[in-house]
Amino acid sequence: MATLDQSDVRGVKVLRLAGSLTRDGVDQVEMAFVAALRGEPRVVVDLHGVDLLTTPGISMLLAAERELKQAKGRLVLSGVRGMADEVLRRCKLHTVLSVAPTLEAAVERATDG
Amino acid sequence: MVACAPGRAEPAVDQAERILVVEDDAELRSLLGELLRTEGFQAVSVADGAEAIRRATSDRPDAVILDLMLPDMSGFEVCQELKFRRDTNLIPIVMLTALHDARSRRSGLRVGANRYLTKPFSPDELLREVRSSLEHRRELSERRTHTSVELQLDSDTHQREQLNDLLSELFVQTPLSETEIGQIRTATLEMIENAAEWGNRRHKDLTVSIAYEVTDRWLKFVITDQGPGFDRGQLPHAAQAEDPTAHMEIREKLGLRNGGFGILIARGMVDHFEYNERGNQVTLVKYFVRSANS
Repeated sequence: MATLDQSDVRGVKVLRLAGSLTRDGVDQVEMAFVAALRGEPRVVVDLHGVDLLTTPGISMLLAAERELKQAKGRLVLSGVRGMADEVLRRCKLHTVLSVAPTLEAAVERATDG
Repeated sequence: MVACAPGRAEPAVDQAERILVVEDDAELRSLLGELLRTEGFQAVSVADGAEAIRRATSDRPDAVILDLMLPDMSGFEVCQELKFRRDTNLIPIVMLTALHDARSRRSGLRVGANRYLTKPFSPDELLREVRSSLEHRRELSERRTHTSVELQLDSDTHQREQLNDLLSELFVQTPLSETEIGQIRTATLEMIENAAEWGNRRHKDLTVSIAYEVTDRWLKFVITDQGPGFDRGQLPHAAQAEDPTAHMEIREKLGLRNGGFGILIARGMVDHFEYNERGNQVTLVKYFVRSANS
């Protein structure tokens, strides 16, 4: 099961994902996740509560990153740890996605420039 | 007592392999019992699932012949009970199904039997399956297997969460660390998703089989889909270890959504990763020796 929680921190939309971002988990949150991104130029996606990340979860994050990039916006990940961190590193996605060490740093990076 | 077949030496009763027959049809139950005794087995018969679980747990038979359609529970539920108990896990189960059972009792995710036999069947077919399952049990003993579970997942189901829970129950019985469990769980889920989505194309009538085995030294998953397989040399749209993001441009040109990381992720998280020649079966192995040294 996966969940999505939304908040605003200093004008930055913060989306907190939790649970397993596998096929079933992504099916549970993807619509709300996509809707939450709409019209938001600066977004932080916090993965602190994510215990499993498989390809559907990666696809959702990459699609979000691309959409914001096209809209001249910025997406920053925070709270990347455990298996989510290992998966992103194995796929070298730290080079594609912006990953900040803390939520605070991610908000700063999202508002930077 | 039914006489033995001509020329067949009747084994001593205490050496005969013990078969538990679970069948609610009294006539068939009696016939099966007689057939087994004629062939030198000891047979004990029961008529429902609850009694089957009780007898299997107390008597630990060498094999169970289990009807899928029982009055109190399905054969798959009996399978799950027996396969998730340490003391009954390795007892081979031959499940008897009718042609219409497969559709009427589909539940997305099932803990399966070791062998299946569709009614009507001949005595020879039944005996072949029983002997084959007993042989398989001996092979498991030889390689010191202490857990063996067969799962079946429908390709169009959303029950992978239930699968995740079942995996958790299984992993508790291994010496793997939390990180290693996370790795094998991730690898397994990636490959199961691949099998359902790319192998079976999510076809509602196709299943993904997941065979799980644990010995003193390793844990193994064999994941099989019913699709045509694929050529592993022709995967430009899948991530490669040397440059895991290079394929993303190819996927974009092909109109595929972001992805293609499954094999790369799974391969990196286990000690042995191998596809069969056809490309519809993948084997994942994690060794415990490494975890002891790490």
